[in-house]
Parts: sequence; structure tokens; C-alpha cells
Amino acid sequence: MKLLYKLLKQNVSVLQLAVFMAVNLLGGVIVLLGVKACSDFNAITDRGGDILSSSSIVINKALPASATINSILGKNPTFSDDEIAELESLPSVASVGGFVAARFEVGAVLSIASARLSTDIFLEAIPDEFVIGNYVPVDAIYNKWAAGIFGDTVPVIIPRNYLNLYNFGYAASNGLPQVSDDMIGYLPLRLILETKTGDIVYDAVICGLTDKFNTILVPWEFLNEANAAYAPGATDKYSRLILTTNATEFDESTFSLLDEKGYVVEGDAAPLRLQNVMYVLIYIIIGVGGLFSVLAFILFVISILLLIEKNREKIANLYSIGYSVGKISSVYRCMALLANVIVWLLAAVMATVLYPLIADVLQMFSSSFRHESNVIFWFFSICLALVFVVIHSFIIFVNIKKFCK
Amino acid sequence: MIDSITLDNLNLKAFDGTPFDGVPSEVFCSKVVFRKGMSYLIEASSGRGKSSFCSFLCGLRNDYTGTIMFGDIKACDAARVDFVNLRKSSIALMFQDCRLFPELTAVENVMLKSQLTGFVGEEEVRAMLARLGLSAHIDKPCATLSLGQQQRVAFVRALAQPCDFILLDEPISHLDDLNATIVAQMLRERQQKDGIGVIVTSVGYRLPYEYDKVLKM
Repeated sequence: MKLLYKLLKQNVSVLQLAVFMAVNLLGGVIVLLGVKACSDFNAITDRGGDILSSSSIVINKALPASATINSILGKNPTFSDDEIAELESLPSVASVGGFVAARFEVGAVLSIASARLSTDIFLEAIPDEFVIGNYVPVDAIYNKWAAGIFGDTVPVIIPRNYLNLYNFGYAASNGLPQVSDDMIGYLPLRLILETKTGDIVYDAVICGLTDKFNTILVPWEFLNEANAAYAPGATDKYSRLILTTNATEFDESTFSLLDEKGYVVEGDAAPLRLQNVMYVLIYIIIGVGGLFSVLAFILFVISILLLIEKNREKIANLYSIGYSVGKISSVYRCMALLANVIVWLLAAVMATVLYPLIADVLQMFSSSFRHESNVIFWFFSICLALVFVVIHSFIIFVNIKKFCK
Repeated sequence: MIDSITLDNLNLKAFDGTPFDGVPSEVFCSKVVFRKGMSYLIEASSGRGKSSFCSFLCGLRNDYTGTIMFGDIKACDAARVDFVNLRKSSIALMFQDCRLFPELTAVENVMLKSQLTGFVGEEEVRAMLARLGLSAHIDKPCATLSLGQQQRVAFVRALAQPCDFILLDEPISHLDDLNATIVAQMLRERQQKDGIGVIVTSVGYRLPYEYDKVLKM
């Protein structure tokens, strides 16, 4: 092998090889950063979903000047069945769900270290299928929610703002420990349902934080059963609705339509619009990186074909003295393997180092953006290196075979 | 293992069904059997297809008509990989034009072949080269060697593999009598040791060897 390598490495152009590696490295790093950014954004909008995961908005009717008086008179601006049906018929709307509120008073007691925080709260619920994909879950409890198995412990989702308010306001000023996203699921929480027949106490657990809803969510089944049991008689009218739509179809015309009908999108819709722009940008970046990689790929193929062409006489002679095509091509295949492994390993390392800088920029698009595990860099690097090596090896083998006659 | 090579009505496609120039041949357009353990000399003037004949036997060319049989196996039924194995361990060929690699030294050229099968070690290769008067040139690139020196390296390379038959295509065309005699001695020793078949081609200047049969091509 050593002699074979000595013989066939003649005419190797170090410059061509260096250019291939540099261009491929550049392309590889860009592709990896783009893929990782996509992956991290998807983790916000759809845990484990694909890039085109569905997104959602929450709407309510614009409150008129007489809203307060109407409210006292029991006339809240709610959505009628016809209006809900009309929304469901919109081409960009995939599904519509209503928010149900607790029809009784609720208190909560949360223990953090030695402190015991108690307050009146409100509870709401939406159909469980809308919960998925719209909050940052604590995995184990999340599974319980998804399966509808909560037993005596009630899973609760709170707005991330509440945690921020505690961490950066209350905890800081009262000398209490701050609580991370991961730890919040371990804090003992009690819900006290204040009913006409007395207080009912439930153990609860905060199983997720949301940027989407400004409310405290409990499972649909739990709240409906509680309403039926402790505040029977009243019928549910939805004053807020959640609409799911495909992110790629969530265009300006959808928002215009909602404006026309006098519906208000809860929170700021700009991040969603911005997110669409961000996705397009990431796709363009991945495309540019991919283009570099493809160019590098072609460059390497051309270089190696030229090298084989220059060594065609040696290849034919080696074949004539008993060397097989596989053995002869192994020298060039090893070169391809080595070059690709070095490039993609370096690409993974560089992407790992550079990504935190990119993540800071991406956080401007969504406050929930989190830089998650770097495993994806290594996974994609290994996959792409394998693809490159296999295709390069095939091309090398076929071309060497041509000269073995 | 190949016990015999049989040629049945073999001819170059280019000769179009008749021997070259219409002159009768004991190799082309006839039936010949080469047996392992025996030695053959094929004599012919230039351009009568000696090198082509060697290439046919090694599977390096197939522009022929008729049949070549290795034992009971037809050459036309053999796959590419079969011929690779044939050249590696059944038929050793010394090319008329040597086909050495100019950038490799004499010993490296031989070892490149030997490493395929591990048939002989470097020390033995060096000893064989030295026996042919190449002591001073063993570690020199072949590009710097004369034609005669290259021919001796090519001969040692042909010996540096296991085989049933050895084909030497005009092996001493650039050698003096002394070196031709040493080549013959080394060939004889190998034949006696392993019982290989020997096929030598010549344009008139014969390798001094005890041939069992001389064929006119």
C-alpha cells in the first residue's frame, strides 16, 4: 500500500486539494449553521416537528367603548357559532378552538425554598390538541398531558412572563432563589378551587412555559369537569379563539382579513411575520452554503479525474501486473475519505464555536429561542461526509475501471 | 491452479481468419496445448503477434477469435476479477517493453508486485537483483537504468509472484550472453522448484534454455 501510494500520489495538486477543502469547509459551516438555526426555531414552534410545522394565533374581538357597561350587563363580546364556522372556512385556517374559563374562583400556593407564595389566579383551557407545539414543555409531564393522564396532579402551563417577573422582580428583591425553566417542574404547587360547597385542593405541577398565551392553562377535560361539577348551568361562550395555520401560508392577507372583521390578534403578530422572514432567510443561507458545498464537490471530482487521467498509464500497468481496480482506486478513495473527514470535522467544530454568536442574532426574532444541543452538527457532518465519500468513491472507482483494460 | 493452457484456432481479429501474410503458424489458427512443468519457445519475426498472444493469455486483450482454455475453463467465460487473480497468482508475465514504473527504484518495482501476494521478501528480491548484476542499481529509480538493466528488473518482477505458467516476451532482447545465461539459470531453478510451465517468445535471439518444444508463430 505504501508503494502504491508513493506511485499514485504523483501529480497530486496540493493547491487544488486545498481549494476544495477551503470551499467545502465554508459551505459546510454555512449549511450546518443554517440547519441548526432551523432546528432550534422548530423546537420553539413544534417540538420535534419539521420545518413547515403549523403555527397558531390567538384572537379576540375588539372591545368597543361601551365594553365595561356591556360587561356589567353580562354582554361580553363573544364569538357566535356562525363566526367560528366562518373562521374555520378560511383557506389559511387549519382549525379553530375556543378558550374556556373557570366559572369559579381559584387560588394558588407555590413553595419556593422557605417562601410560600399564595395568590388568586384564573384558569383557562383549550382543547388539548392546540396545546401541543405552543409552549416549552418539561418533557416527562408533557407526555402526561399529551396522554391525558394526570390523575390527582393537575398539569399547568403558565406564561413565561410570570417566571421572568418572579426571577427578575420578586426573587431579586426578596432574596429568593431564581428558578430556571428546567427546575420549575419540580416546584410544589397547589390549586385551591373555591366552590360553593367548600375549597377543593389539587396538587399541581407547572409543566410548561408559553410565549403564546397570556393565561394559565389547565387540561380541557379537567376544567370542563370542574365547571360542570362546581358551577353547573352556565354555557360556555368563547371570547377568545385559537387559530392554527400553516406557517408557510401565514401571509399578510390572513392578518388583513382578521383586521377587516374587527378581530384583534393577541400580543404582537409581528414576531410571527418576522419568523416567516427569518425562515426564508435561513433557507437562502442554507442554499448558499449548499451551493458552496456542491461547487466544492464538483471541484474535487474534477481534480481527482484530472489526477486519474494523468496517471492513466500507471493505472493500466498496475492492472496488467495483477492489481485489481478496487486496490488501485483505494489510494484515491482514501484521499477522498481523508479530505472529507477533515473538512466535515472542522466544519462541525467551527459551527459549534460560531453558533453562539449567530444564536444571539436569532434571539432577536424570538425571545423563546434557545441554543439547544450541538449533536445536530455532528450528526449532519457525519451524514454529509458519508454522502460525499460514497459518491466520490463511486466516481473514482468507475473512472479507474475505464483505464483498466 | 492451471495445469494446461489450450489454444484452439486462436487468431487475431485483425488477421481476418488467416495467419499473418498467409504463412502457416503453429500457434495461430491451430490447436496447441501448453502443459505445466514443460517449456516452450515461440519464435517469430517482428509483428507476427507474439506480444498480442501474451496479452490474450493474461486477459489484457480480447480482440481475438477462437478459444483459449485454462484447464477446463474458457477464457471468454472468465470475469474481470478472475483475470486479476490469474495475473496475480497463476500466470506471470514479463512484458517486452518491461512496463516498469520509472519513479520507483528497482527493488520497489519488484516489491510492488511481490506485496500483492507476499511471495518473496525484500531481502530475496535484493539477492535476485544482485545476482543479475544490479547491486549498484537496486535503489536507483528505474528511469535512470539502461534498457538491459530494466529488462533484468522486469524479469525478477515476473519471478516475484506465485504462478503455474511464466510468459517471457523477448526477455533477453537487450541482454548480453552472460546475463542471458543467468536469466536462464534462475528460470530453470524456479521451474525445478515449483514445476511451472515456461513460455518464451523470441525474434531469433533465443534464451539459452532446454525447451521441450519450439513453435513457429
